[in-house]
Amino acid sequence: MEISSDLVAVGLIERDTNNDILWTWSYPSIAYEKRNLLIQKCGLECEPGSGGPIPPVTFRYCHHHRAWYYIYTTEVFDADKLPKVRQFALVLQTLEFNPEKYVNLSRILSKIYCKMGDPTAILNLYLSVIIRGSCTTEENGTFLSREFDQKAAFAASPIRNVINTFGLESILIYTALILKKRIIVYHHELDALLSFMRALPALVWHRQNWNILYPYMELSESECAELISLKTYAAGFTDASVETRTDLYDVFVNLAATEITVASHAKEAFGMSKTHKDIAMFMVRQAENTELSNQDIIREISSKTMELLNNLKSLSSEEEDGHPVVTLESLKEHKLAASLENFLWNLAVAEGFVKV
Amino acid sequence: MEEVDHIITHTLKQLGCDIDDEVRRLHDFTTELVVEGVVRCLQQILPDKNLSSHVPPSMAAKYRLGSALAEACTELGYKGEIGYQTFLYSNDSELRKIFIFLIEKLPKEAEKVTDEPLGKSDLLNRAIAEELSRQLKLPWLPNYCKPNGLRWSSPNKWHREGCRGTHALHTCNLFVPRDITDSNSKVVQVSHCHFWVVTNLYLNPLFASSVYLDFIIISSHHAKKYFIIFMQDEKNIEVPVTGPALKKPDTEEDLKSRREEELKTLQSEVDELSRQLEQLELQMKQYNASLQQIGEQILCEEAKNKELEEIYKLRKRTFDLLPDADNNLKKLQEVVEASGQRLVVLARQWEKHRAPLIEQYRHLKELSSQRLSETQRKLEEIKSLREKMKDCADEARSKDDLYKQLLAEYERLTKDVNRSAYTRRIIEILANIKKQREEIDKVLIDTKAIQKEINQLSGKLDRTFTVTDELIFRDAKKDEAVRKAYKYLAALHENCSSLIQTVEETGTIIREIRDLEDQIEQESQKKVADNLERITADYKQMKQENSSLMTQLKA
Repeated sequence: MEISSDLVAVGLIERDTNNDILWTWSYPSIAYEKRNLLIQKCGLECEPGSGGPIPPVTFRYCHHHRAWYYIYTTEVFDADKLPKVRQFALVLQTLEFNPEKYVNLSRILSKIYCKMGDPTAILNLYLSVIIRGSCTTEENGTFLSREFDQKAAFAASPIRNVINTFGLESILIYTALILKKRIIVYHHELDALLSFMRALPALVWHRQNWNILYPYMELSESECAELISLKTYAAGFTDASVETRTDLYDVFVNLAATEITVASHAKEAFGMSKTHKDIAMFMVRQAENTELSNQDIIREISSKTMELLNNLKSLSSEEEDGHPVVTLESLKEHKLAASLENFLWNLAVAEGFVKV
Repeated sequence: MEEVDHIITHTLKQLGCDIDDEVRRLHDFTTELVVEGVVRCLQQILPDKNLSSHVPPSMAAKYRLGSALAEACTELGYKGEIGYQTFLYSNDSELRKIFIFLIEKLPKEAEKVTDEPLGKSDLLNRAIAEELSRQLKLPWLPNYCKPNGLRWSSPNKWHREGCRGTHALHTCNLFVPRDITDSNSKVVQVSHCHFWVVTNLYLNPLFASSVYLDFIIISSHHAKKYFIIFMQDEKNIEVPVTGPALKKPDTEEDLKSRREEELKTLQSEVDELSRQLEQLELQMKQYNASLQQIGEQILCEEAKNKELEEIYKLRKRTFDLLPDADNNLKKLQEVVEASGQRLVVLARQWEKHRAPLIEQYRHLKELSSQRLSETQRKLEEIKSLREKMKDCADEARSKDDLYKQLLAEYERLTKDVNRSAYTRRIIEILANIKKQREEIDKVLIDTKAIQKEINQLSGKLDRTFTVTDELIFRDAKKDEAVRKAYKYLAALHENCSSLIQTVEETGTIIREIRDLEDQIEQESQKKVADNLERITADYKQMKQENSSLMTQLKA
């Protein structure tokens, strides 16, 4: 028996025949502000089919205050059970990043709600997943929580696309991530944005921290305040005007135009050295090697990063209870190039190798 | 003719002549009135001419005035016979001719701008039109005659011409020293004002010119004042500095060595300071790094702490339950199952409340949206009605304006009886002329018919005569009586033709007589004899006056 305590809450947002978007049901509860935020982001605002040639995104997720929200939208074609509802979005609040797992679960829950027209059916299955770690439906098969490993979710990143998109320039993203800077990515299409975003933390695999990811943000006051309270993040925006908010980012990635801009206040930390060039060449080479899978590329880059960190550790002057400690003086002793010295120092700071 | 006289008197009245209402024809005009009228007309036509409208008692002066008037009229282009006597001894027809001539020559009165109610846009349009026409009337000037593209048309009026001298607007900040606290505000105000005026000037050179000039005078006045203050300040500072320097006259080398020394010490100081700065910067960097790291660690630790706390709680409870593990596990499972079931039951119950409420909400929402759309429709209707009302009001206002304008025009028209009288009379005259022409045509047709008859008759006569002549001539050789008859015939014919000729001649003579009679009448109207008499009388009087003057002079 396995207890899946990562699930926090489940909710339903419905769009009825009056085009009214209403939060209709939740278990156990989701705070009012969160609800408003999710209503904003659930994608029910635009009419189905009116979105032009772009198909509506049925599954999306966002991250706020250490909670992950997975939203799965369904259109109601069979009006028997839900006569007044045209479209609904199922919201899952969880503690972990695992899109594959929750897309499955939310699909099953949505189907059952569509069929029964009764949220108690959702609750039944939801409780079953919480208690037993699995649920079974007649038509949509079984959902087994343990089938979805978090590592696998982390590794399922289209990192090759990321590197191929930006080529040698992807070193800027890598540097920003490894130095714990703030990255903002813009793409007008949510699907492309989400797929790109989830690959970013994989570049710093050794940290295993997907909580820096804020894949779908908007320029609302509360969300900006959330970002400002953070020291490092990789945030995705679908609003192009975010480029003007230089206070929010150190690196701005315009995915739609394949451009990377380093904010003027962060230029100093992005001085490129030979090491950078090495890593950039290495990354591009790995991405070009078609024999390697995405996981392999992640592994290779990770080992390259470890190499870099070992290098840094070897430069450390002393050790303190097993932790390497790097001081600026010891770095200066090695007479490195200014940009490399700057980079290594920043890296040491990011990795916590600095003497407190 | 009466009409013409009426028009003349009316015009003269308008010119300011003091004419009694009883005086209706030129025939009633006194000499004074004639002279006054002519003088007033001439004054209107030639405002430079200085003529007195008062008739002097002395003959010589009278003569002079009359001849001056006559001269002025001939100068204006009067073709008829004119002399001093024309004015002094008025003759109806001549006077009429002269007055008609003068009135025609009167300058057409510029249309006076009546006090029509005009809108601002009309005023502006008028002003623009006036300005443009004024500028267009000016002769062309080459560029170097227009400094900065400005062209002065009068001492305080100018406009821009051509594209030379147009610049983009440049302004600069006015720096005001802090010491002048009390007058600061003024200067700032002035600078603002300057800016405002300059912008305005560029937008509207037509109206701002005078303002701008005034302003420049003011601002330059201010500037001078502050400039003087600065100058004084500088002097105050400079005096103590130059004082001691003059007291110690050092050699060039001393100065140089001292300066080098000073430079060295300063350099070392600078080096020291920069080293310190560098060190401090390094320290700062390190501290910043530690700060960042510590912050991160704190966050990390906090998260970990929370996690651990939760794990601890869980473990503690697990520990409590550990002694009877199997049993407790089973119990726990049962409890979980039961609570799960209960939750589902509760959810079902909740659903019973929730579903109808949602349903009701949606229903109400639908109703409200329907009502909203209806309200919107009504609102739109109201809006359109309001717009229509506005349109109507606008129309009414414009019509009102038009009405006022027309009323003003109408009032102006009614004051000017003259014009309508003229036209009416002209139309009457035209009708008269038409009638006359018709009559003339009739007479002409009659004449033609008579001529034709005459021709016919003479032809017939000719033919009859030839036939008769031949007949009788043939018989005349045989018969003596017939011969006699032939002789008589010839004589008859001859006599008759001479008779006709005489009749014709009589006709022409009668016509000539009539012409001559007309001429006589015309001439008699001119009263040449009377005039001659008068002139000779005048001449005599003048002679007498002259001789009396001579005697006076001699005496």
